[in-house]
Amino acid sequence: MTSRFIQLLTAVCLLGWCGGESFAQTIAVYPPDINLETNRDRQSFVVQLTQPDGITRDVTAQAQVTFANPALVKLDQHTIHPVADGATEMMVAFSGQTVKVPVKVTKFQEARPISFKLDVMPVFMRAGCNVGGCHGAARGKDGFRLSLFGFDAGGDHHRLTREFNGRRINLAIPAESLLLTKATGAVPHTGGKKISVGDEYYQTITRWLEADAPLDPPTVATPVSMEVFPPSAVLDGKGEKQRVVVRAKYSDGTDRDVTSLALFLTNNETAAKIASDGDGTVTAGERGEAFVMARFHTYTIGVPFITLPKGLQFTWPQPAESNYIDTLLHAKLQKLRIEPSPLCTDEQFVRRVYLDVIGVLPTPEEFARFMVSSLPNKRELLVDELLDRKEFAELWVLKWAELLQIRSNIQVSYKAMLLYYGWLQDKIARNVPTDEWVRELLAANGGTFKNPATNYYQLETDIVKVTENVAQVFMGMRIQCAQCHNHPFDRWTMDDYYGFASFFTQIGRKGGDDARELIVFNAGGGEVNHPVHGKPMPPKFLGGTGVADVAGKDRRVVLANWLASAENPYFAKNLSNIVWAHFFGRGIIDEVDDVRISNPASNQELLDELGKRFTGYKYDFKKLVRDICTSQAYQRSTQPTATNQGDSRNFARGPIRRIRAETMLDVITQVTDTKNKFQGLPTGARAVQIADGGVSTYFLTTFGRPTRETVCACEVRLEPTLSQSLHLLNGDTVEPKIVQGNIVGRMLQEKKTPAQIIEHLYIRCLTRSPRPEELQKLLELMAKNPDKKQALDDVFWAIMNSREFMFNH
Amino acid sequence: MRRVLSLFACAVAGMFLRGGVASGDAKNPTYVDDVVPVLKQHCQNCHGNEKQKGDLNLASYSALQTGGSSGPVIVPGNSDKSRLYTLTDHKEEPKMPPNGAKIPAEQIALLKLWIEQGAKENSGSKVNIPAMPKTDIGLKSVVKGRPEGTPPMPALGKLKLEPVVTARRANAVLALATSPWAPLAAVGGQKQVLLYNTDTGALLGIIPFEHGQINSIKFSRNARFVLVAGGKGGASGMAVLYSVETGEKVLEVGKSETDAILAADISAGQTQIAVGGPGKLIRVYNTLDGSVLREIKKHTDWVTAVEYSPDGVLLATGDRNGGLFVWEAFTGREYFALRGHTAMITAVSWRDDSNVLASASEDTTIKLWEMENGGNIKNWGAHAGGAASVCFTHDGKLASTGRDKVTKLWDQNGAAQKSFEAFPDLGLSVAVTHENAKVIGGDWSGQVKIWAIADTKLVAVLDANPKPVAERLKDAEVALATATAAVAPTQANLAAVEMNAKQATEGHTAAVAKLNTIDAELTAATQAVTNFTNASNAGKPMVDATKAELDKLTPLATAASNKAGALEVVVAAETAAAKTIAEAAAKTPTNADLAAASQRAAEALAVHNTELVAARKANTDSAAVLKTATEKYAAVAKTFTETTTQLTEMQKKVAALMAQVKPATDAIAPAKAALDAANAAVAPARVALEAANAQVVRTKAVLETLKLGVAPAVAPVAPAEPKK
Repeated sequence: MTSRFIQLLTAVCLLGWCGGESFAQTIAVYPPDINLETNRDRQSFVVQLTQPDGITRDVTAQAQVTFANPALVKLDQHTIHPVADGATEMMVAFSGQTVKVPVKVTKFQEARPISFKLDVMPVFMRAGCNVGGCHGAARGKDGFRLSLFGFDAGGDHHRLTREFNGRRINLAIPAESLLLTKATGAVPHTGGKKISVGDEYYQTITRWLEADAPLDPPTVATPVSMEVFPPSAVLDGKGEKQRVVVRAKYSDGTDRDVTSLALFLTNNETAAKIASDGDGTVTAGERGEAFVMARFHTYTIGVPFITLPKGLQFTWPQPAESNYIDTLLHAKLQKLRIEPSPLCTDEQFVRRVYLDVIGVLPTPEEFARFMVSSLPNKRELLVDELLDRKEFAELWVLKWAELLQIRSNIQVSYKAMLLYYGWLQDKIARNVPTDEWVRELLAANGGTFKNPATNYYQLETDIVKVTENVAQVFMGMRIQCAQCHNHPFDRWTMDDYYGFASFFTQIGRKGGDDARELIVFNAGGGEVNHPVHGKPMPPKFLGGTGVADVAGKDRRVVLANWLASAENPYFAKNLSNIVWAHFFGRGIIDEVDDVRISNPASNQELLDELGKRFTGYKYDFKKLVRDICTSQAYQRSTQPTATNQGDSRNFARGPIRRIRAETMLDVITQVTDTKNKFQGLPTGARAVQIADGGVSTYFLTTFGRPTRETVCACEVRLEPTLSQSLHLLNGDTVEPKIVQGNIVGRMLQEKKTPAQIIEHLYIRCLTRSPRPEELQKLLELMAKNPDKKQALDDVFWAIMNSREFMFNH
Repeated sequence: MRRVLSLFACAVAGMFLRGGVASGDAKNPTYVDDVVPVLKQHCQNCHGNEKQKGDLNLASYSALQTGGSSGPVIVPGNSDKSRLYTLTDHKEEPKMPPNGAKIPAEQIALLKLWIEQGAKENSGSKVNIPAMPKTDIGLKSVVKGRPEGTPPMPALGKLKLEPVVTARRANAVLALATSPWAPLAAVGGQKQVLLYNTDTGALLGIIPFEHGQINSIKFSRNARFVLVAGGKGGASGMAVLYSVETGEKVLEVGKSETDAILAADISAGQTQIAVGGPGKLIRVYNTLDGSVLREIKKHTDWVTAVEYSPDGVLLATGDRNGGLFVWEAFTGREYFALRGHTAMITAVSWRDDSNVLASASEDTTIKLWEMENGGNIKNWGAHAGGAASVCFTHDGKLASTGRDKVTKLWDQNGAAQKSFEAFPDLGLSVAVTHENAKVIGGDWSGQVKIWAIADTKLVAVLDANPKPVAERLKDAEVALATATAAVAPTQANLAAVEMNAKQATEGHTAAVAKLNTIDAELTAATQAVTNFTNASNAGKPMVDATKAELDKLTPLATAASNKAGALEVVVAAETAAAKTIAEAAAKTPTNADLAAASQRAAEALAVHNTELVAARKANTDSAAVLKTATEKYAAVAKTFTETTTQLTEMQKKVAALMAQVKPATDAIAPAKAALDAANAAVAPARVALEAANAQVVRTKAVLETLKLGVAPAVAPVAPAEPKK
């Protein structure tokens, strides 16, 4: 009561404060039009008020609703029911504003025939009957099976009506059907009570039974799209509510309110809560953002929700913007009332950008050169300089080699692997546009020696795995689920899956002259059958429209031309996201290869813009890296502000990341001025240069070097572990290298003072000078130890075991 | 054992006393009366005889006292220490039932009260309500084949005719059986069994079944009892034995079943009832006291088919996974595991001699198994999509139906004998009448039809969802009126048709007679033609010969005539000459010469006169001969001419007759056709009349059955319908 009063007061104050700006307060009514067909149809609506400060309120209950012709419809709370055919307008008035919504009633005299697919099957999904843990399991549950999330309507109908005759339905007395008595808990049901006698779902099933349990005629409409309203919401404080309306559109041009049939999910229950089987009301919780999703048929659509602390006072600090990245990130932060951290220091920046862009630390000389520069754009200049270093290319060869799983094994000879690696290295080093070499790779034909790109099809020979890998690496999609059933958390159906797999069914493979060589060619024939109906699907681009024209063509060439092009809505965005994730330790969609509706981007506009720019740069990803590294966002301090403390998704502060295995070893080797020897490489080579995924060392394995056995982004492990710490402390890497490199010894010989040496070691390892108190303490400790070299080596060792050294920050 | 008996007794008694709803004294709840229903509804699915999650079995009082793997679940007198109550009331984890809402508050209160009062088993050992009178229906010996005496039929007036429920439509026909020795079929309806006369199609009686859906009906081998089994899916099951004659409940078993019984049968000796269902086990009950004789746990899926052999020695059972077993009925030991089916067994049926078992399966086949070694002796694809039911006839044939919607009759080699009209939906159940003359089938859409095996014709349609008696009476009266009304026109029709046939016969006969006449005439004429032709042919040479004779005589006669004429002239001349000479001589008698000449002339004349006389005679003779010949010829020629004339006439007549033959012949076929048609029309008309009469008889029977059945049923005070 009190809180509402305060809220009102706040609202009043805001209005007062805004003075004449009250026009900025707007109302919107969703859905934008109301179509009622047949007598049982209905449509709920929601009225959303957007305040000048961006906060939204659900004012459906407070708004005044009138109709131009009240004889046509009946209003029941927030739901409109038809009364007679005709067209009219609904006028929604709130605080002086009126919104008009067209309302159309048709076929009121008719009743829509009950449909198994459109009415009954959604109940099974909504009530959770056909989920994997229950009757949707491959072997069903307690003797009764439904297809997982209803991918096989015909089969479900058969199992309900005619599999075990007389068991599940009773057409004479529908209420005594086991289907109903189990679901309502009238008889013991392992799954518990799912629906109640007399509720909407019960009535739907009863009506279907009373119609003698028909299967739909083949002409029955199918859902073609779904809408979720409102499109977004910013909730003011815990307990605030916003109702969501879901509407489905059908192939016959009709639409229906499916709010009560949609399954609701939220990806952040603490910020915005929604009951999965509720009426679609979202309840605000703690501060944060959430993606509230509705699932119906094969569609899942999410709506972003932001919850702010009640009555939060916030002033946007107007931080500087370097480029579009900052503009888009700031827009989001402003909405979230989050203040970004200030820029990091030059020392932090130089360390960060060296590690990220080229995977090595700046030498003391490079550090000094940067620090003394007084040019205002010295950071940009440094980025440009680093982008041209060969280490930059080597780092990205490493990353791509992981995605392409470059490794030798029983099938792939060391030579083929090496040629493959060389091919990739050449492309990256020459900065060949990404689309160009991806096209070359996917459409590759020929011997694995002569055209090393064909190794892609030797490393994985299983058609479905190739399909899944291409989708995961180049489009960021994990479509594995759809191999056996429609994807539970995404839009992909089995039809999509097998349509995409059809591109890879005609890869021919035969032995070459050299026993180690394999020749990949277009076999021109071969199909994979869809398991439900046993026929192959025509090749269809994943997420594309229509069937691809592959007549007389190499299907992979057709695919490659589409995949690595702007026509593919996922390619540029996915690659941008992979690049972004490298520099921020987290993708805009995270994980980068888990793009799905239920895993939304933290900033979709930014991702879209990055994709657009990347395409505009003709897939020259150096330019993209430059945009990212020169943005304010990348240069932010890792120190949180009061408002961005709890946020980890919106890049409001600098990222802290453990340095990845290969770079870590290279950095340790670099600062100790020592050399490594890896299998197949000359002494002194860097760990990032190791071509074969099968080659590793104890150090690299401990620090999470991927084995490249799968394409999953999760193969690179960046979690700090105890064994890593123990290895650095006591293992055979740090200590021997300090001795071997003898940095301290050499400097002592050069008659450097301990203070100078300590400063040098600090710059060498941490890219900063020691703070006075650090130096003070270390010198005090030094003074106690007569063996200066020993003491300084200990300092060196201690620095290398500090968290500051292990992390890029 | 005694406790189990008393348990059973109490439960049954409780049910009798309270109209099927077991709810004891709310202030003094007991396990048997009050707690069992609650546990059964919510708990026994997981903690029952089939499954014992956490090693807890709540299906019996003793098992409940034992508790589960985490110890006892009740502490009598202390509900808060009794996990049965605390978990159910969600006071402790894990909440029970899992994944579901709390059970109703009043039931929780009941559990609490029951525990606090000491968790009594029943209302006290003192109150030991005597058991239901023991029903000893066991037979001393199993009679093979038809039992002596008249096989029992429902006694009119004893059974209800008013349906327990008239549903919106019939459900799938899940259970159907025929009396082995009487014209009686039992059809599983909604909450009731419908007994139909298979000869008249009349509904003879209705047996209410209040335990849920009926999944199985079986007659006892002696046709005296009918065993009805079913229940509420996921909740309870029951098998009840009724008297065929009176419809009275004889005994019931299955109070501890936690799911509907899917299949059941009573042994031939009537000492055992075996039931099977989703619990995957076969439970054999003793008919004497309803106790469980044994449980057979071998099936790996729901038990879907159960049947005792006619000699009562073996028990065959099948399951949803295709498992098929034969057990020794008296020991429960496995006799054979019959392997071969790859999908659900839908039905099993024994041959009358108990030596062959038939099994029907969703794998589309029917298989026959011999009982010497358990071998599969025959195997045939019977119904595309799956065989749903199979039934041996007394004469060793098999009836079956299935997903192809067609009901079929087979011999034991699997050769199709008959195929009956297809159902609109999946065929589900089949039975054969006692005299092996009719097949009854039921389908998914609720149709039940009786066909005659001989001609595969429909005999009657049985209603699996009968209307209330009042409506049926009205319908029956209307039907009788309609049937009666139909008789007269049918009769008239028959008369008309018969008249028609008569006329057609006459028409045909006339046509045939006409043809015969023509034929006869034609034959005669033809004969005449032949005769005349012969005569003509014979007369012609005679005419010719006579003519030749005549022609030969004519010149002779002419010559003789000429000669005579010439001589006449000569004689005349010579006479004149002689006279002259004589005269001359006479005048001159001296003239010798003259005298000589006169002598000579006289002599010559004499000669010539002689010659003339001869010539004259010859002429006269030849003229006579010629005349004779001429006359003869004339006669012959006349005869010939007459014959020829007659021949011509006859030939004309034949031609005329010939022309008549074709139309006459042609006229016969239509007349014959008309006759045949008319005759053909007679039989159906007669059949129609017979049918109409039969219909009258049937409808009358139905009506009388109804009237008779209803009249006494009204007389005694009708017990109130048990409310649900």
